[in-house]
Amino acid sequence: MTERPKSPREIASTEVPIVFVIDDDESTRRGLTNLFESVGLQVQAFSSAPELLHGKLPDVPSCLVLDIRLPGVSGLDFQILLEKAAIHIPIVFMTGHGDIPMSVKAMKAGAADFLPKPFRQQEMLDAVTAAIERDRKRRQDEKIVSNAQALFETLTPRERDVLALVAGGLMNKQIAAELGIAEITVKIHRGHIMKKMGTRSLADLVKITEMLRIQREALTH
Amino acid sequence: MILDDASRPNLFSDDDYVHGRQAKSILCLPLIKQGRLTGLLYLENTLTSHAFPPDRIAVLVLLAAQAAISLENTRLYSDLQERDAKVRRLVDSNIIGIFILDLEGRIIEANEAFLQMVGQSRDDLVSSRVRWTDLTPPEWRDATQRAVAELKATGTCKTFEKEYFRKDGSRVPVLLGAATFGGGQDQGVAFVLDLTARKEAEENLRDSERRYRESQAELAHVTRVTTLGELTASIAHEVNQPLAGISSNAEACLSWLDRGTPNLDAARRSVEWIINDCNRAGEVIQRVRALAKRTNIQKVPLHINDIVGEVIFLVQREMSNHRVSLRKELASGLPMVFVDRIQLQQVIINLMINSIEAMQSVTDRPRELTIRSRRDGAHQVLVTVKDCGVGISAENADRLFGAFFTTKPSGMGMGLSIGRSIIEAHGGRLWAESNLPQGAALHFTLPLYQEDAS
Repeated sequence: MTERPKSPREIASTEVPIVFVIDDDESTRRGLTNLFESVGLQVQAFSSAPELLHGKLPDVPSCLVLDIRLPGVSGLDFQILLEKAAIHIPIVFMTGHGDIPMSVKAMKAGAADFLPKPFRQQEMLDAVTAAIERDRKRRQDEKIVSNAQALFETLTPRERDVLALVAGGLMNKQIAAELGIAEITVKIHRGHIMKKMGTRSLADLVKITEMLRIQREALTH
Repeated sequence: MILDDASRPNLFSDDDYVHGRQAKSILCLPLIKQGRLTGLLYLENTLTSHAFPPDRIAVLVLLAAQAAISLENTRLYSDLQERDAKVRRLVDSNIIGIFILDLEGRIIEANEAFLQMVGQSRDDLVSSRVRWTDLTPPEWRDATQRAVAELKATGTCKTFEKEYFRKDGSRVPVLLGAATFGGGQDQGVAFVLDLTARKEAEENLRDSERRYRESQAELAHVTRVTTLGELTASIAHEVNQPLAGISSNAEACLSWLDRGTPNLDAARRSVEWIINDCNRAGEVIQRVRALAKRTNIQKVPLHINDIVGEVIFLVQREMSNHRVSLRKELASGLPMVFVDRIQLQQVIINLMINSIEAMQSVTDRPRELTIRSRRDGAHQVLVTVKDCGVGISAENADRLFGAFFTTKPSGMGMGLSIGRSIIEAHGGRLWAESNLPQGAALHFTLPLYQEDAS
């Protein structure tokens, strides 16, 4: 990401989400594609799992509707593969008759949902909507974190020291003593930090810092 | 020959009899019938010589001629008696039915065997109430008329099968042969063999053959259904796919129509896809029904690759479930074979399912199933189903095609045995060999369809 870091409020939630459908059966693929498009979602359908990874995944909220039994790389295998590649797309599994042990495995591995075939279309839409919402939330959190990280990078080493101590709950006076600087200097640093990090309150600042998991130890070398 | 005085030395003086009898006059005349010596007339007189003067001799010669005729007649008569006894013995032995008939329909004489056959009494016969024309059922009259015509023309008729009515109205199947007595007579003799036992045996044989065929068909049906049972999950899946498509497209169609501005194009497209999927589901059902249906053999000219294609359709899900990849090596432009589609499908399904199962334990190499078709010489096609599974052990190789032989815990052991009988019934051959380095290869041949034969 080369764009300028944005404050949390600037992160848009208006992109059209994408549903990826992976099923080796053409009827199912075509039906689901049509279904999702009819409710205004974007759809990309593939007949085998690895095809999904051929292109770059678009940067919008998305979810994956995956047949648990697929020829070649099975749905379950693919879930593990995505996990290893740190691709955190929510997966809605479609399972056939007698796939209960597989479903359990899938759920344990963090599947968003699973729908035994034949399922009601509304159930599928609900599951996909929920999965996309979950992804939107996750992406938002991720963006906030990465944004915060980017903002954090703009802090000077001294400001980072001060931030760590602020987040640790120390008073200005204590921070000044800790760092061997004047209390007024601490105040000036805090002002800069608030501005650079785009936060208006101490609470916001602490929350972001928590998110970034800035440890006092890490900052004090 | 006359000796007027036998006491005087003569040609026969040394004869003990002549010498001992002291006969005075001896006469010996040959008895000749049609130039053949049939006896001798010998007269002697011990009292007087010259006892046979010429006038007496004339009488004696006449007498000798009469005696010769009588002797001959006696012999002929006893010959005749002897022959008659033989014929009587033949007739009365009752080994076969015999009756003497005239061509008008009368039965002049019949033996016990014949009477028993037709359930008539001798009284009926004697009173002339029994006519062979009346004993003949209507549908046998033509054949009988032909035999009578033959009898008139040639004096005999070839043996033929017909039926007679018994007195109680039931029928007896018989084999009949007849001959006229010749000399322009319209009488003859008929020999009748009771075929009831043979017919019953034939019927029993046909019955047991039919039962055997039925049980074979039944068994084939059972295995087909069993195979079908094994495929049920796959087939259910095959039906569910288009149903899922239909359901999704229908829901989508409503969605398109429910929009502020209904998207009619998208709705129409959805409905078209629904129709598509309906047809697909119908096709699956059709194929399954065809497979499950118990039909008699219907051989038609077909392309073997088409049948292979249909089978692949039925087992593809099974293959993907078992992570088996399929390699098709189907020769193009193969001539047609003359086969029963369902039976052939059954054989190939069975071979493929066997192969899939044989590869279940394979983890160190790709599970690949090869199905190949090619022409084999001028008169047949060869189909091979090959896998890289556990293969066939030498000890099992011989038993492979026996009924009830199976290595599978849930198998019935009928597949290959029935497969082989099906292929053989089509004039082909089915055999197995090891597929080196791993697995098994099952081959079968089928003769090519020839339009003029069949």
